[in-house]
Amino acid sequence: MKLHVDWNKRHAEKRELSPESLAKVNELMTHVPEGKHKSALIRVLHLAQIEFGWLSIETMDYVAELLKIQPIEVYEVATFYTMFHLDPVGKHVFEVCRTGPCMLVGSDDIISHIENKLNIKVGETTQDGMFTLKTAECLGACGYGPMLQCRFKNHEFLTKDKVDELIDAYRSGQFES
Amino acid sequence: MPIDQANLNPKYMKGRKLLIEQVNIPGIETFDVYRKNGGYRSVDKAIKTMSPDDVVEEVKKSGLRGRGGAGFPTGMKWSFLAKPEGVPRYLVCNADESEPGTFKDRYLMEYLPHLLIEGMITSSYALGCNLSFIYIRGEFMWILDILEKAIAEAYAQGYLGKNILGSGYDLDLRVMPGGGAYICGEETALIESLEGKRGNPRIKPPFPAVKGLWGCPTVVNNVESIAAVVPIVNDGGDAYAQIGIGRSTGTKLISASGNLARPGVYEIDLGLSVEEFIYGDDYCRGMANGKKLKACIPGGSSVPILPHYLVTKTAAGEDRLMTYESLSDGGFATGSMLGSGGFIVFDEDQCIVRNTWNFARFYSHESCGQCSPCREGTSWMEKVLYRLENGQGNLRDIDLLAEINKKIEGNTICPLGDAAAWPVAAAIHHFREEFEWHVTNKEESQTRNFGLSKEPVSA
Amino acid sequence: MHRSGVMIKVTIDNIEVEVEPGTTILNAARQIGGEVVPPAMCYYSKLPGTGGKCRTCLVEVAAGSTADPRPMPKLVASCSTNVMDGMIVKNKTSEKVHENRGGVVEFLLANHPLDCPVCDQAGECHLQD
Repeated sequence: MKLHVDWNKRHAEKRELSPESLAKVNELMTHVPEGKHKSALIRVLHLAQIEFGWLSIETMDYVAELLKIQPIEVYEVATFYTMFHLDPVGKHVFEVCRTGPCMLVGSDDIISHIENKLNIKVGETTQDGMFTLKTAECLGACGYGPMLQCRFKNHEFLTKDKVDELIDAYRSGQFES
Repeated sequence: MPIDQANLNPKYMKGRKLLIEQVNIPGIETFDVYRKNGGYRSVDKAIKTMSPDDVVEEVKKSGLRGRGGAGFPTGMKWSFLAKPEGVPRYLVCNADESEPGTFKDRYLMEYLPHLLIEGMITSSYALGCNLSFIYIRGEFMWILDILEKAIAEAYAQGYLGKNILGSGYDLDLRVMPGGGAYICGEETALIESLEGKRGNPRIKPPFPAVKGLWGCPTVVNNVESIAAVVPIVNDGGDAYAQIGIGRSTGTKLISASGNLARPGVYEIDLGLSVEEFIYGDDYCRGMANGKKLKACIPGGSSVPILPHYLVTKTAAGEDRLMTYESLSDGGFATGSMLGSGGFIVFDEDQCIVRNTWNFARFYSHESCGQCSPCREGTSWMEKVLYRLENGQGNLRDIDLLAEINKKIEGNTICPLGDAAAWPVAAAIHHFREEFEWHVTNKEESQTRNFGLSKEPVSA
Repeated sequence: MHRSGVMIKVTIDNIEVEVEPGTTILNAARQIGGEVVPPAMCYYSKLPGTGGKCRTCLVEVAAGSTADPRPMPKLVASCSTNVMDGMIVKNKTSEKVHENRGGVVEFLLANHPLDCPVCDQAGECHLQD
């Protein structure tokens, strides 16, 4: 998380959610009892991340305004949950499961294969801004490993060949994300 | 966004299936097909012919035990719910499924979303809730879409909303996502997260049954427990209780993973033998690639690991069965737990030290960080295990781990500390030789694995 | 907090004290004072909802209350556990408390630089040994 905020830049960078997402936010706020709309926060952060790619401080402040809560309430949640990217990421974020059951069936090899193929280390983004590689703890596909998730889409039973195909498919725009 | 279904294993249909019987029917995820195949009967029956207390009574009679891991009787949990006048009560379904080795709830929700919704309506009626939630882990966002679509259908058909089936009973059902935190599977952390906060477990008491979501009485149940309410109400608690052995009644979804020939989700009658489950043609069909079994974690990453000689037989030489009691036979010395049914199997080529380190890293990563024994202890264990695994450890490290374990266990706010400590303690207990080998054969341990452990002579 | 006038009795390290209902074990011990008081780091009386996190104030409850004299199975955080009438608490008299509290402090110090530049005790403190 960035520690120093450039206050002038802050407002210049502000962007808004799309009308569809804003309508969804309003709908979500009606799903809970009066005054408990903070409950919608995690869902709204997901919506924001889908549109903006990652959560900047500006985005988090904007979400706070939308939900009429304090910015700190958004920061503390965004920094707790590992799905939220607090730094810029590439267009496609590969999150490879590295926990026990996936490791047993070779997730380590898959991770190093992606590292070599994309010429980046875990946590880095390719020069062209296309891919970010992350590792994740158990993604709930233990019997179908090794696997990776990219913007809520699971790719399971991975092999090195399948990973190569997958990277090509994402490069050529076969999957949206 | 459906996942690539061709990738999934075929569903294995043999024996009694109470929950996933209809999983292969095309279009079963839609209301119409589900209804045509007998769906929502339990709602009709409960709302039209039973009082809420009748439903609770049936669940009590069924002997259903919480399917999320702890195995606490669901009916009893329900009867603890405080019912003060004028205060709303909430039912929350725990679909945060994130115990490594467990993927049964995902299967259920992805293919049979209406089963969960039906269970939620019947259960909410029993508990007198007018607003209920399904809390699903954030990584399952496509399943959230599936559930929301199914919920919209249920609203349109009059099974949700105001005045359900003309009975005067109102219920709203909402799905809320998490953000990728294992700890939110702990019920009070889940409630915090549902309130839009960090998933820090609360100090108990007060328990959620008295003060839960927004300070109101709340019941939190696993997806599979809620789904099991459907056959219990349809066929009666007594019929359900006849399946299984002793206090392990009914059927259970087992998520089988690791080095098995056919991993996947299986519904079994509790009481099936572990041997049949691993080697049977109708189940996992043995080990992948003809390898030998080295070890097994039968209930998700938090439960003690069993070495090969204790998997299919107990220490007393009896057949090990898939029940709460049989799997825990022998306590932590020679037994384990059924837990969430995350059945992880290791072949002879796997390294127990590496796996123990991997799980320690998981718990260290997922510790919420609020209480010191868990925050500091899990990361310390992770570091020590990393040293051992990478040939930099010494023999004192093994005792150090046991010591750290003892100081975490029981001293934390929530059970994550215990869950992190137990697997390490059990791994050292059963595989001490392998840990020591990593210290005494540092270079060799980096190039090959230890292999099978020997059965102790006394066992 | 109750102001009913009814006081309840609790015994901490063999010393009996009468406190108002709703008092925590820690605050009951503070009424006795001295070495009976468990150390507490994260609890601050003026902030609502604090405590329970650092686990240094763990104590053993040897008897829950007169009505239910069973011991509590685990050590409890004294700052966030209320006393009951007839409760018997062991703090410095409990071996288990010493052991586990030592463990907690060890955890806290494990990743902590022990330079302590502002403390007069620096260099002569057994935490630094």
